[in-house]
Amino acid sequence: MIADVAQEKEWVIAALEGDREAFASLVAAYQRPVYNLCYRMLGTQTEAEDAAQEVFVKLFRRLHTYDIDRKLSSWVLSVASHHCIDRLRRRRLKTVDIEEMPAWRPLVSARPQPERQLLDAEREARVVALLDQLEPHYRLPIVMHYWNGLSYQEICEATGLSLSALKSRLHRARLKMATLLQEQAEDLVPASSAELGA
Amino acid sequence: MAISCEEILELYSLQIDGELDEVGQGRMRRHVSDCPECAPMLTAVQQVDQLFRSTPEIALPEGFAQRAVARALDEAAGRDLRIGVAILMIGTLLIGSLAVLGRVDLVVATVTRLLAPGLVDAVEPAIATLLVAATIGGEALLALSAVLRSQLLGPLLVPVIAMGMATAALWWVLNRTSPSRQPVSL
Repeated sequence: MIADVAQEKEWVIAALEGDREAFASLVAAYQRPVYNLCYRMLGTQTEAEDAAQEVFVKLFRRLHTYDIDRKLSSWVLSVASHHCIDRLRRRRLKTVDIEEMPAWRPLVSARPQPERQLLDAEREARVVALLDQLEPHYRLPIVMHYWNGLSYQEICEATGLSLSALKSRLHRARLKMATLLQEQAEDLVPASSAELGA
Repeated sequence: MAISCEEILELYSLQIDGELDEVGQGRMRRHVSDCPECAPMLTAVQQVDQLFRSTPEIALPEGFAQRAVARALDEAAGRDLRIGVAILMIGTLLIGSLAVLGRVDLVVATVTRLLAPGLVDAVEPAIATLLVAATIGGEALLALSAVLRSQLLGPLLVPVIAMGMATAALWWVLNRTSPSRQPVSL
């Protein structure tokens, strides 16, 4: 749920004056895009929840630095993307538990699952594993485009990239993932939603 | 003008996002119809696109917004407390330093009374003047420190030490049980 611009500005101003309900409204409005950005960037739900919470902590702390003339969604996603990239950098410096790493394996459940759920789980695992192969600065525009539904211009506003740089990154990211797909012997394309829905 | 397969793939990336103009689309069609080499990679790029487009958003964990708001407010409150404690500690150090200043007179006395008079006779007049000025300044500092010591050491020393200890204890407690790490419900 993204509120209209005037409403958002009212919330920001009220939150700056100490109105907790206004800040809660901002969180409610942006929880979904922020959480999804964090999840697609970081790859696990546990880390995504922690990171997304930290993003809102940062937003609350830095609310006074927000330029009211700027689009709020761009600012929010900019803070979220910087936070995720920082976490990915820190993660590279630490030893990563192999169990926490995304892998090319289907998500297995102890109880029997309907075919649709198994397909969804397998598709999800493939997406996570593919994204994991991308460098963060290539992953970010892909995530913003596909899961935050941002246009080229909106991605440029949130990331500070030029239009030509964005086009280049999307192209290179797709090429890399297409190459990875080609390298896989198995068929990685999920059944289309039309087939599944039939 | 001939167009390379690399350029075609770049144009295709724009096309699947609906960002390719008609001229670009025409160039693509002409190249692809004559170039079987591009086909496998174009298909793979299309598969990636379909895979991502058919993968929905992930559902939010239940109660996420409440936890996020609570944590943000909680950490802000914790930060305010830390700033308050830091100010208290700096104040304590300043007041404590004033008390310690009473000891400076020993150093000043040594420098001004023992070294300066002997040097005045042995150096140039300009330097001698400076040394005399330094001696007078030193004497003034000595008098000031004596006053401060008499005023501060007696009445303020005990409260200063007590306040310093209380501040250190509070700081330790705050860092041990940071509110941001505890689950909070609104």
